[in-house]
Amino acid sequence: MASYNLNEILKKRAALKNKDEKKEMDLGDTARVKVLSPMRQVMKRFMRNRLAIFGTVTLIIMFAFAFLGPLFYAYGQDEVIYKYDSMIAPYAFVQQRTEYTGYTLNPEIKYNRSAVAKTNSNINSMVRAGQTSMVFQGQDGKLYVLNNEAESTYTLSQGEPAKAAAFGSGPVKVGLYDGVKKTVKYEHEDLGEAFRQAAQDNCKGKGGSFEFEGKTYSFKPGSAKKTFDIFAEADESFRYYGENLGTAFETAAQAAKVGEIFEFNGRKYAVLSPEKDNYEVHTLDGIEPFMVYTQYAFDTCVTSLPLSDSFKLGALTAIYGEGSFEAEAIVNTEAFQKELADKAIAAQQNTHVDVNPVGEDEPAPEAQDTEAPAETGEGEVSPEGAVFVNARFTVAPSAERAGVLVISTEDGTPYAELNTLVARRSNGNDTMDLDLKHAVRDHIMHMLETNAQSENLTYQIPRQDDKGRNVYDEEGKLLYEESEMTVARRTANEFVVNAEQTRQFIDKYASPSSAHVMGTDGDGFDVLARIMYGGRISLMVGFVVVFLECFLGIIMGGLAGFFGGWVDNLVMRLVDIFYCLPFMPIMIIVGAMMDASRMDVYIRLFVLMAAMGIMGWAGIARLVRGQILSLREQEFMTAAEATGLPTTRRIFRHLVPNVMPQLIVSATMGLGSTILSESTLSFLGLGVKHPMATWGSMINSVASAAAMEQYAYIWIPVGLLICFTVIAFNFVGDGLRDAFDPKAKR
Amino acid sequence: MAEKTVQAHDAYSAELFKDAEKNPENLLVVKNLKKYFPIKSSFFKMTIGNVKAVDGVSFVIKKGTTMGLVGESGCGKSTIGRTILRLIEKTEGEVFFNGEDIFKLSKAELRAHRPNIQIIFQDPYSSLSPRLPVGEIIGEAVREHNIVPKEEFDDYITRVMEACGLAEYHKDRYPHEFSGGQRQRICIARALALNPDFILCDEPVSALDVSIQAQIINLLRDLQKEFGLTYLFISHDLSVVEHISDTVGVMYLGNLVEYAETDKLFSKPLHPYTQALFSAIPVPDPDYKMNRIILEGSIPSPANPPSGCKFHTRCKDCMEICKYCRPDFAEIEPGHYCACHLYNDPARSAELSKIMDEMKRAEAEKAEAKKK
Repeated sequence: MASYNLNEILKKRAALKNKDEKKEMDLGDTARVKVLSPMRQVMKRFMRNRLAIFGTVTLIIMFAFAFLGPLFYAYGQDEVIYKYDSMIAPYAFVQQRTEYTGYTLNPEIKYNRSAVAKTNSNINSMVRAGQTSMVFQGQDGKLYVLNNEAESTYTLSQGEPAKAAAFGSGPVKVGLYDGVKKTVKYEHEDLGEAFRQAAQDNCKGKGGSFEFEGKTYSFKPGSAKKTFDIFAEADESFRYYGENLGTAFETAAQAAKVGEIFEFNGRKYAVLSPEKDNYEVHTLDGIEPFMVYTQYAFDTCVTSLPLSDSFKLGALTAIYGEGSFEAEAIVNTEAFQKELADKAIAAQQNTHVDVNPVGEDEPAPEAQDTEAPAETGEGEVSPEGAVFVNARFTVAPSAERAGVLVISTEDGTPYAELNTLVARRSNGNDTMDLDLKHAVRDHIMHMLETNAQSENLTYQIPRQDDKGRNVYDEEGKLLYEESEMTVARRTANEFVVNAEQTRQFIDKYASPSSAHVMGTDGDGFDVLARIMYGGRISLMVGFVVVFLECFLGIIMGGLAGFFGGWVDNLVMRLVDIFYCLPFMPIMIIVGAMMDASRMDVYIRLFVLMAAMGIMGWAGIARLVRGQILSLREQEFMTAAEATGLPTTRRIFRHLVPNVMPQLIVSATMGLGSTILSESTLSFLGLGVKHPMATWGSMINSVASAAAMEQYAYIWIPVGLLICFTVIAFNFVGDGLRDAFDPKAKR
Repeated sequence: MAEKTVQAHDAYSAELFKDAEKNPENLLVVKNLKKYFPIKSSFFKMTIGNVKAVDGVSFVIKKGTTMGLVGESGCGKSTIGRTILRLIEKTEGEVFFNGEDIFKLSKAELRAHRPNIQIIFQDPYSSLSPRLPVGEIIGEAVREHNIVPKEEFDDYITRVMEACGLAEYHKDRYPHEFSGGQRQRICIARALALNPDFILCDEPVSALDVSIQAQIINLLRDLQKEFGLTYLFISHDLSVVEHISDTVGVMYLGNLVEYAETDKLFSKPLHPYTQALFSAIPVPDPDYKMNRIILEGSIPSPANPPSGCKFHTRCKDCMEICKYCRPDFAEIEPGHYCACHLYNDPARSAELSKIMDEMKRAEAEKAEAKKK
């Protein structure tokens, strides 16, 4: 250290001086002049520039609009706007049932799935052949009998096969030879070890034949590998497996068709043909019905009345049985009706409460967004709490309508109907009045008679408000109103009932209105909301990209400028390379790559920003390097070195602040061009993806000539915003440049 | 052959201030300092020559004194200054500060050592960082080197500023708000605040007008008196140097040609160059008849200096030996050093003529070989 202590000397001197004289200030003292720091001087000069102020104000408004606007605006960027409109829409669909629905009678019987699955086609072939019953052997080996019990009603029965006899001109299957185990499984009688040995000796892994006890047997490949069916040569005789029933039976059996049932001596038999020209006669004593198939559907007299399974089965069996049945059902219909009405009110009130929950911010249930209220409602009430009691019902054909069976209670009031013409609401629910069903049915019958394509009718259906909800009176009863309906034929056995209804639509390309100040776009999104969110993206992309560019540029340019030499050379060659890369083609390639990898929209946004930043740092690096190169040689840098300041301090306290002015100007100018680039990329569909909004993609959404002409209210505001933002950034940049440069004239 | 003379010269110079650094009175001892700037070929970056900015300079500055360094532009004055501060690295030679060879310091040691030697630049406009307030410019390094305790920092800066003729309220102002003289005071305050023993004044007044020059010079003198500072005052203004310096060195083309106490030098300059230089000092008397010595030609290029005595191309007293042998920087009278063959002692003269003859012979042989 120094040989003297300056601090002590100065202290002493100051002490002496203070005693001697008192410091005075005069009017001209420069201490009275307010002096500004360089940054504040720049601010002052900037504030004098009118265009710069205009730009700044524009930018502040733009930021408030983009970043604060969405907080106060009701709609999101990808929130679909719906509207309600009345239109002729299908109210109900009516179908003449051709398929048969199965109800399980006896759940204990295990059946073969494919045997049951074929039922509809089996019924069709029976109808074609004019048969009333059909016998077939299932893959499980059991006998199945499909029997037409009454009109549109079939039963499916199952039983063990009981072979009574066999005949035919084809070879008779004796047994199955297993080539691996060397065993024979016999069909009927055991031919003994000698036969097995003969089969083993003669089986050469293929077909072939052998003689045994004077008879010729032949092999045929069996169902499994290395198994062979052994057939004896044809035996013309009628073979009994049990009691010999005589020639009369033989004649009856040979006369019967395959799969048909014939009776002999009061017992039922069926002829089956397991092989070509071979027939077997089975007794049908042990079979038992386990399924009932019907074309009928239940229509309850009280709308939406739930039916128990026992009721359904009872009714179906009563069709072909004794005509009456006992089952559990809700018979106190009046009380039930009241209950239904109460529940409907409660449900309606609940939904009202749900729409505007007080103090809670729960999202509305999804069903409300996606499904039109007109499709729901209308007494759709769960039957919980309804009391099922045992009651007796009778089934009888309707007196008024052909093909309809009426199920009545004991006192004769109709309770339900069985009908092959099924009418259901367009959403598939059974919520139509029986009267309406009848009316529709009558019209359809008339149409079928006259071969008309459509007919009109008028009927009372629940009134809808402008949102498509049902309207209730003060007591909670549904209000009805007359409605013109049209029954139209769709296909041979399908009809549709159209009525004017209020439905929910996506509000596409809505013109500006008080609710949607700038209207909606082709996806039903609110344009103003999208402009706000798009501004967010555009401004954010601008700032992030410029920040990234500056970050890379300062580091690279700083390194090059401060250290010089080979570092400078290396960095500047890198800069040259980046200057050579064409921006647009590379961004297009990056965009295509992101398309190919199906990137998430947010990740995509970040990749896009990174790519743009990496493409843009070279200019900043060059600027910073040039500045630092000239500043480095200034004497104040030498002075800083001579005072022994460390390198980092020299860079960050002395160099960087002196580069800042140029950097700020160039970054501000860069913001505008970056926003333009982003918009361009998004317009080309390579930037930010739908449904995320950006200004570029918004213009792109109405890019066709026709759309541009028709939906000017979408692209003109967006275009103006882009324009204003870029101009504002340029004004601010110009203003800053002038303010930083004291020599500028303005 | 030229190498041989240089070697002989260097050997002689080494003897000149031998062990001067061991004398605690000598604050700064410079011995045979050389600084060559390489000239690179444009493409392959090969060194094809050297600019001999400083070519073997030796001098001693005693504590509490001022040495003036004068010479024409481009003669290497500032290069000497910057090399002494180790702002640029030397090519050869030694610099002792308080007996310590500053070229042997490591980077960290050098940084700790820096406050002891400060510099004031010629241009007060470019030597202050435009984005820092004055208080920060002065105090930055004080804080960095912990010159004063933290709690006294503010007062200290104020007092230093006051000592340099600045007011406290200048602290928060920025350099662009000051006049040139005030800025130079800021530079002085910045140097002074680090509590240095030695301040290198690199033409501190040449950018200022005359009245301000006087202010600054007087300030420097006052500070020296008060704090016992040592200055190396680089200038080409002889009257200023005469006013402030205790000793003066005269430089010509990278060499110190004469070095003596101010009175001796100004009253009786020995070297023909010094004589020519001093004859150019204007005298504010219209009746005074000036006897100017006009030098012929211009200063030769330091990249390719003349052989022998570098001044021989322009010297009015040029002898044959001047063209061949470099003159030694010798103590002609006590405390008066001069590098000129006019003042050679006989023994050294004989030695040098021998070398000259050898060189002549070699030259003749070369010429003959060329003829053949």
